Amino acid sequence: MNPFAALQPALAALSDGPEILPATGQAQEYLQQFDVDEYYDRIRTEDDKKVSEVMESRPDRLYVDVPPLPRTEQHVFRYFVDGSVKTFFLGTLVEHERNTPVLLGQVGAAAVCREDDGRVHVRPKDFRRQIVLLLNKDQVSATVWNNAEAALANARGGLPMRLVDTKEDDAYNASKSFGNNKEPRSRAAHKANWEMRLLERDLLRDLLAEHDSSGAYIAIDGGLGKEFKLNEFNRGFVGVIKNFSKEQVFELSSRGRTIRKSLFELLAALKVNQRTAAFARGDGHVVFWYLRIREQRHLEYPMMGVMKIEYPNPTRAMVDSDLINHLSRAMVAERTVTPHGKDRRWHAHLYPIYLAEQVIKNGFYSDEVLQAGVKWPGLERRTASR
Amino acid sequence: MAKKNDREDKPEATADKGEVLGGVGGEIVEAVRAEQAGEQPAAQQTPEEAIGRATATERAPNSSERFSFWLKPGNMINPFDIVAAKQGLDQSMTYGLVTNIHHSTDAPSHLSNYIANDFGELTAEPNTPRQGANVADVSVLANTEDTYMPVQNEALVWFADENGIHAGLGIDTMKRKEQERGVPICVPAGLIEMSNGTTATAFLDKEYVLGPEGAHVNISGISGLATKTSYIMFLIQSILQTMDKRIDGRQDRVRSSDVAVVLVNVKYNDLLAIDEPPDGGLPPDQIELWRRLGLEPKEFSNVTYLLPAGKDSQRDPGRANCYAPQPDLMKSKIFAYELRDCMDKLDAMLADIPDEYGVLDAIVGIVREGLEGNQRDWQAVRTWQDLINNSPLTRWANGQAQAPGALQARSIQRFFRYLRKAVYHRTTGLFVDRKNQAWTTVRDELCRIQGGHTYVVDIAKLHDNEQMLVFGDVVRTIYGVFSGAGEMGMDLGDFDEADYEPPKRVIIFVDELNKYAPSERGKKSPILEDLLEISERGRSLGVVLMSAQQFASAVHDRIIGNAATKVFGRTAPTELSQSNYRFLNDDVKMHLTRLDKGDLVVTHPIYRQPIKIKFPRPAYKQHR
Repeated sequence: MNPFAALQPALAALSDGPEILPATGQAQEYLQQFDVDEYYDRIRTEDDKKVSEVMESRPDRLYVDVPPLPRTEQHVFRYFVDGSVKTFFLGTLVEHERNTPVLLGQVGAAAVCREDDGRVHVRPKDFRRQIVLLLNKDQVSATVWNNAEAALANARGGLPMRLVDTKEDDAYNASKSFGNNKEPRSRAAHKANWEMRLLERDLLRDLLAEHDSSGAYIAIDGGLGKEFKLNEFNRGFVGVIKNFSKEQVFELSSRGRTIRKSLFELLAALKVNQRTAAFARGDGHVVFWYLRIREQRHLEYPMMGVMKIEYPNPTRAMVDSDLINHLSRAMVAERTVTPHGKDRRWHAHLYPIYLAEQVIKNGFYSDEVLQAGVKWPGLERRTASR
Repeated sequence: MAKKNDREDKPEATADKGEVLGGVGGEIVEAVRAEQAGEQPAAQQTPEEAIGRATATERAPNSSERFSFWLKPGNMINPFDIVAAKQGLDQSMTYGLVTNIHHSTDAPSHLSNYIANDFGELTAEPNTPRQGANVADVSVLANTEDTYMPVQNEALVWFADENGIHAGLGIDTMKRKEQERGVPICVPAGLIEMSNGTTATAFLDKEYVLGPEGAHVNISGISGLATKTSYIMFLIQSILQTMDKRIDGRQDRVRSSDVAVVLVNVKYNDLLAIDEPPDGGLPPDQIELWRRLGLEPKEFSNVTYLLPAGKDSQRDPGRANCYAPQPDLMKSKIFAYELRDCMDKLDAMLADIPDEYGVLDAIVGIVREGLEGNQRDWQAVRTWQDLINNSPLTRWANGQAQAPGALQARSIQRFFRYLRKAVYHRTTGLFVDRKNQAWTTVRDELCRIQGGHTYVVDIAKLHDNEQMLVFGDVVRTIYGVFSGAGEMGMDLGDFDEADYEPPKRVIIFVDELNKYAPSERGKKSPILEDLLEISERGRSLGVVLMSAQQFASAVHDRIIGNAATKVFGRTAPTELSQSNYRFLNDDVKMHLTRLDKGDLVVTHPIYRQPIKIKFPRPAYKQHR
């Protein structure tokens, strides 16, 4: 059975009127060539390139020892949330002088739950997937858009499917750092990423509600953007950034003098099992610190083996240093095991997050299935008549 | 049987088969058939009881012959467990034998594992253990609907229950045959024990053990585990008891009273008390095992021990050359060989002597012709002494008369030298010029072989050439009786065939078969041809060879090849690299190297894969 059969009426609606210039050789995976993690972190921190405020209760040390706190001693992080997306370019839709690329995104988010004995599993409700069709709403007539939207709304069976307007602003694409992603296909790919982020966020919201009083902490892949600037996200989780923006500089005052360090300088002196002081981002609604989980001597350059951790701070009050230490110690212990050999970011990657990513990716339809299952209806007929 | 389950979910198939089977619902027919076959319908297996799911990947696809499944955490299985998988395309069940279990993780290299443990950290437990799965390889045995489409990905897998095990191995068809014919077919051959505690009796098809479909059993394995002989003795007892079993009140035409058993005792006094119960009785667990197999732990009855004469036997005619304690004379007889008893066996006596040009063979031929033909010059030659000192040979050797053909005097002198050595110098006392009146010969005893009797021929203390002679005598005599050699002119002594009804089957057991039927081309065995005859024609004549040896590779290929049932004990890896084991898959071979004492792997024509069994200790007295 074609798992994309339910998509066909929407594709038919999109091609009812506009011309279709299909992707050569059927649907093609659209690959973003840059590091998405770093890119989004750069956008999040574009207004905070200069960091000067320490935002913890004991702001007296730049580097703090945080020896590992293993799960067997205290099980702090119990859920690990990640998302994944795979986009395919289906073709270009041309209506008079307007045109828009049409992309299909397989989007997913999953939370890995870890038991006290270390075994991990994913509960069915913690694994969410959807299919999105991405195109610029402004570039097609309202009739075409509405018909396609209705067709997807009526689609039955299989995964949820939605039409996504790539023109719509979100927490990232309105940024001045969004840069080249204004190019339509890149913008569409970003929107697929954004949809993934929303799935992750919704999953996190449900987990936090479920574990309101348990004391369990959740680690989510990526930083805390504006999408988390909501009341529900005021506690109980951290964002973990494997590959962060390198543009930040630190101007810190101590005993009347100010020291200025680039990120490279800051991290070069950071030893294993140490964290930096916790800094404020923006107006202080997020605090972040860097944590070295692996010895530099094993790695190639100082930035490796370091993760950036972001913690929600909606009250904008000083965060308890003991809490930061506690979370950091638990996070250091997460260094075993690693996805070494499977992911080039292994040195700063959390294995349970890697597992969540694998769960999602393994749930995606393969390229072969997608290429065979997604076809523009009536294309042969139209080509022949021409 | 397991088919019932499937039919519950498959009404169309049920109806079809139902009509074929008798015009009623297939489900009912199946249940009745299962009941008639003494089987209970398989218990419904729930998803909660499943132990894993089938897995097929790009690089390791499932096929009609094999499938893999991953094991639910916390479950344990072992090679030789039998599992049942829902086929996936229909509701049938596919049974398979676990041949190996792999553990794999997502680590692409060992280095990754080292690094993942914080660069070699040993003391700390990983915060998140590496994801790994235990994946079992399974060889397909059978499908309940004869559907040999590969087991589909994600299909649930369970441990098979006893009926499932029987269905997988083909024992269910054996049981049906038994019911249809009303004769015992299923010979208990041991107990299959699975990792979850399920047990099932492994049955052999009698028609593939005693003929006519196939015959012979061969067992190999390293020595010192007291397993090979014990197993054959258990199996013989099982066969005898099975033959007397009633099926629906009916008994087979051939019963245990129609079967004679000839056992050749080659080691110590292992088989010299098989008619006595074990000292202190069998342990309760062994008795339970016998009964679990539907058998009674019994010693052998109607046993005659044939014991060789020794050097002391001349002085004390009641004393045999055997390991103590000697069996009671009431149930034993002593055998020895006079010259006239050996006329047709001189070749066996001299078998280990190099005879490149066949000169000794020629002399043996002349002697045999003279004695058997009772030629005038040979009439006075009655003893070994006569042959050496006062026979035509003596005169030819001395130059008193012209030897026939190109036979030279020195060749005859060489023959005498070897004969003296065999009969006088390097003998255990088996050869005598004149037997005591109470003594007998192997041939005389086995010419009158009786059904329902067991004969133990002891050769444990004899020299190799003497063992060859005696075993050759056993083989030739029995084969002679069964192949009608008497009618063809074979000398059966005073035996009057008219009054004699031979047993319908005779089972011969010999250990160290490699001595008598060696695989090496250069190694000569005068009885090889006889053994080959038995192994190739015996099943149609009713002569069944049960044999044992350490190394199957040391035995003639045709003998091993003709054994329908092959049994393996623990076997060394070097032996397993020989071509004789080619038919076993590599995983099974590796398991043979670490079998426990008392565990055996059995291949049988009915079984689609080898199985591992355990068996009870024989219920007779074992001195060691």
